[in-house]
Amino acid sequence: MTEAVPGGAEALRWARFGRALILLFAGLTLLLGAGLTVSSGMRMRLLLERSFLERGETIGAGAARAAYVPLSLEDEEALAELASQYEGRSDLASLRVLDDAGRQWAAYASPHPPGARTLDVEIPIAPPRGGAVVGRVEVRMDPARISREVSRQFAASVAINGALALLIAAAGAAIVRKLTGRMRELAAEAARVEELRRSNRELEEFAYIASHDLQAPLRKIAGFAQLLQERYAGRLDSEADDHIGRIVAGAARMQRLIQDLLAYSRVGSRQLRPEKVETGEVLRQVLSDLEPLLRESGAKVTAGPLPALVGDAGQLGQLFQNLVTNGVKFRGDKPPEVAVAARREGAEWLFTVRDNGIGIEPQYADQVFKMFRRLNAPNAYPGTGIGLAVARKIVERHGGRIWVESRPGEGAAFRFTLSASGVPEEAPRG
Amino acid sequence: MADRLRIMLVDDDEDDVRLTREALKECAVAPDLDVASDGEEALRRLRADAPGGARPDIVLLDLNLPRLPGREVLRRIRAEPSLRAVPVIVLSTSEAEDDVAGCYELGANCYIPKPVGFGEFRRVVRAIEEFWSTVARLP
Repeated sequence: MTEAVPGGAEALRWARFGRALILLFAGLTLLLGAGLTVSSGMRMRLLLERSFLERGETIGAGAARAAYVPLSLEDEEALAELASQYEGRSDLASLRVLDDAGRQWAAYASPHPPGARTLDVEIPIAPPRGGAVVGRVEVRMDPARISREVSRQFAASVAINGALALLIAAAGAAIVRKLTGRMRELAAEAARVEELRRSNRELEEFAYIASHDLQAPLRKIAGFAQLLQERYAGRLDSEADDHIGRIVAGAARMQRLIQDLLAYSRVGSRQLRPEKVETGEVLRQVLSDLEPLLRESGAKVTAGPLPALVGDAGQLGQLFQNLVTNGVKFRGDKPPEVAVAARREGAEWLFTVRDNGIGIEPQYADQVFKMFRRLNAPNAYPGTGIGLAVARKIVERHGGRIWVESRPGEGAAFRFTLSASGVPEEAPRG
Repeated sequence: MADRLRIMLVDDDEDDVRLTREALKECAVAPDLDVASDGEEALRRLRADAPGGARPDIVLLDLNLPRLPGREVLRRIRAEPSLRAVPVIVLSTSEAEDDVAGCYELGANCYIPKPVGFGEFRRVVRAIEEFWSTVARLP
C-alpha cells in the first residue's frame, strides 16, 4: 500500500509493496528491499507508524497525521483487517480512509489505465461491539486488471526515475543509509514489542492453566481431609484431630489462593471492552451489590460527582468494589467511612477513594499492590491479599496509575488516574 | 426396593467416585450406584439395559472422560430414542461458560460444578438425590 499523505509536499512519503519498502523523498524514488520478516504485514505497518509518532520523528506533520489514522478512527483492528483484505491486490484502483465527518485521512491510488471499469465499494468502520460508525473506507476495484499489468507499470516508473535517482543517489546516500538504518531499528523494535506481548500472553495462559490443573488434586485433599475430619473426629487422639484440622484449613486457604490467582489472571487475559461509562452509575451499582457488607459493618460511603469516560465497565466496577471493600475491611475503632471523589487533571481524571481506617506506613505503600502481599496477620484481617493487586492491574490496563497516600492511624487515600479520552491501544490477544 | 433411586455415575476419577459413594451412603435410602469409567462403557451399558428395568433413573455425567468425551456421550444419549428420556445431570470441574451453555444446548437436565470439600460435595449429592427421588417424577 502507498501512503499518499494529505497536505504533504514537506512530508516524507513511504510505501510498502509486499516486502519492499519504497521511500518517496524529494521526487526521488528509491527501492529498498528491506527484507523485513514480519508475520502480519498490517500490524507491522501500524507498529512502524506508531513508532514514528512516539519518537516525534522528523518526518513531517503529514506523515505524523497519517500515522495517527488508525488511532483517530478509534478502531485500529477493524481498519487493519479491512486494509489487509486489499493489501497487495492487483485489481485495487484506489482506497481512501475517511473519518465520520468525511475528511480524508489517507488515500492510496494506483496507476490506472484510462477507460477502465471500476467498482465502488464503501465500507463503514464501526467498533467491533457495535456503536456509532467512526469512519469509512472507500474502495474502487478494477475488475479488468491483472497483476502483470501492475508490475509492468511499476517497473516502468522505477526505470524512469532510475536515471534521476542515480544522479541524486550519491548526495542522498548518506540520508538513505540513515533512513534504512532507522527502518531496521524500527523493525527490530517492533519485533521486540511483539515478543514482549507474546511472552505476556504466555504467562497469562500459564497462570490460568496452572490454576485450573492445580484445583483437581486440591479438591481431593480437601474432600478426603474433610471426610476424615467429620467421620473420625474424637476417634483418634486430640493431636490427630488437630493435624487433620490443619490439613483442612490449609487446603481451604490454597483453594482461595488459586481462585484469586485465576481472578487475577482473568483481569489480564480478557480483552478490554472499552465503552462510554458513567463511573457514578458504576459506583452506585457496586454499592448496591455491597449493601449487606456495608450494613453489617455500619459503613458509610459517600461519593462526589463522578465523570463519564471510556473504559471497561465490568473492570471499573471491580476496581471500585475492591477499593471500597478495602476501605471498609481495614477499619479502625470508628465505624468505617469511605469517600469517593474525582477531579479533572489535564487529560486525566484523578479519582480518590479515602477511608478512615488503620492506614498504612509509608514504607509499605508500594507493597500493598503486590499479589498476595499482606501487611497484617490473616486472623486479624482475613483474605489473601489479592484485591489491591487486581485494582492495580485494572488501572494499568486502562493506561492509568494507582498509588496510596497514608499514615498509620490516619486512614488511607487511594488515588488512581484514568484517561479522559479513552484506553490505550492493545495488541489483539489470542 | 422399588423406591431406591438408580444412579449411573460416568466418571473416570476414582477419588470423585469414592466421594460420591461416601456422600450417597449418608442418604436416608441409599441409592443404587452403577459406575462407568468411560463414555463408551456408559453407552454400552445404557443400551444393553434399555429395554429392561435396570436402566438408571438418572445419569451423573462427568465431562472430562477418556476416549469419548462427556459432551459426546450426552449427544448420543439424546440422539437415541430409547435413551432420550433419561435425565442427565452434568457434574464437572469446568465452570467455563462454553461447557455450561453447550451442555444445556445438548439437552442436559442440569449442570453442576463439582464442589470442593466433602461438606459441599455431600450437600450437592444429597440435593440431587432428594430432588430426583422425592420431588421430581421420573419417566
